[in-house]
Amino acid sequence: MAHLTALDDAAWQGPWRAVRVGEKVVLSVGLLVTALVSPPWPGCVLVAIACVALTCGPARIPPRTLAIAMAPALTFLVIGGVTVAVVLGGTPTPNAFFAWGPLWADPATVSKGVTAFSRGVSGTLSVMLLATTTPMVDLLTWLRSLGMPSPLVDIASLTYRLLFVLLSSALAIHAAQTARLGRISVATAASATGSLLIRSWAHAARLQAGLEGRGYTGDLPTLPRARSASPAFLATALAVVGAVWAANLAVILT
Amino acid sequence: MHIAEGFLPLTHCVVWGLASAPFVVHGARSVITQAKENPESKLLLAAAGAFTFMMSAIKLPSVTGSSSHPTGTGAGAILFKPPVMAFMGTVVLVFQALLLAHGGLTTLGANVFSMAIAGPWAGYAVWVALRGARAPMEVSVFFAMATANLVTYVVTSLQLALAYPDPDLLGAFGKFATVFALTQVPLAIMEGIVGVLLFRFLAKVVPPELARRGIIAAPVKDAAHA
Repeated sequence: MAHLTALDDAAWQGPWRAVRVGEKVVLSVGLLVTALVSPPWPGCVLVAIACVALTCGPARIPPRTLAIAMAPALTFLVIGGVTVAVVLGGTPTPNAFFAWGPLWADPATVSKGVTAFSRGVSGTLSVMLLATTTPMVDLLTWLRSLGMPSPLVDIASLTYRLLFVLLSSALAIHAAQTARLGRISVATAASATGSLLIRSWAHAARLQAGLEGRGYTGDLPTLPRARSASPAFLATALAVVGAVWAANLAVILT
Repeated sequence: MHIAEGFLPLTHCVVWGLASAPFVVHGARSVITQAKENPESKLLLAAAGAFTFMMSAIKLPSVTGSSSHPTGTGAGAILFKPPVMAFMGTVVLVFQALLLAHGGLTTLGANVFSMAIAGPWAGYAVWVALRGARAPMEVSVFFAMATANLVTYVVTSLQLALAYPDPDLLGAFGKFATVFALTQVPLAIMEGIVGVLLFRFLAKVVPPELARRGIIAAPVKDAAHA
């Protein structure tokens, strides 16, 4: 289950941690929206290339980390693209590629499947650009600075911190069951799940007691890390997104 | 049952986001009220959120840029009520999109509507109806958790059918629901069974917590000896 923390670990160690969160959000969301409204060629392909190049280039995220993160998403997207491309029921069009019983596909439906797949891949890579360069703690601090109510940010921060505690608890429960040569059954799975829930409550109660001992008043602010604005980063981000839009327009006009 | 990033057209992303927003805002308000009245509830809610994340991180590939997994939101709705789950479900879905590349930010509204709103409310309605009819806790938990899971999958199928209505909406819904059913129906039944064993376990180990939430009757205390 260590892969659950792979993206966040990469974000903590990468050089783009020093870049302002807002600037990274502009780049990632700009590419994401571009992917969502672009045709597969050139828009989605260029967004995907830009994301991989930026993630594995200047952001120095190991390609293996990106590949591990993308593998499950790619599986879903391939299956999804095929499901959109193949129609169930209705009357096959005269130019259908095949018609097997109620299943058929023609150029229009295949085009829809390819579009959905390419938007999915480029969109996921756009989000990965943000996820692999920005730890969740930085994102939550940024949301607090934007005016998100403190209790909500506190709960989200605590949830994030408890994830790692629960992950280690789950691994400990699994190791203990393995050491006892325990059989996997529905009953043992339910007991393990119940143990995990009770452990999470116990951790929360102990955290509460610790906070009260330190004079907890209901707020859990953390000191934000000071980061200077980078006009060069912002200009590059806008240039990358603008270049993809220019390529899209060029293809449409020709 | 998260729809992957980029899989829905932009207009669908906006419409599902707008549809989910009132529920999430209502949930956030009730969370803020609870946190102000009772600061330690923040920690319990965070624990519930982390638990839901762990449950729904177990995923199987399914149709149309989506995935199948236990939702855990049925248990959350019984323990913490649906409005709270609308907010906590949103937090969990954002974490899954950013930490696991599971789901997405543009499809967040659609995923929140199916997994954090429709599923928990349906499961909770079944729970209340069955408890009102004096059904045993185990029966109520099974049907509530299985219903929460199945309704989530039905709503996801509808969302996908609306996005890709080939050859028509009904046909597309039938296609997505049928292929989804291969993984999701067994998972819903399994989640119901695991839920029964989970609540039995909780009733045995932490009965005061369940009694405080009105899930079981308060344990009778033995009379003190003089």
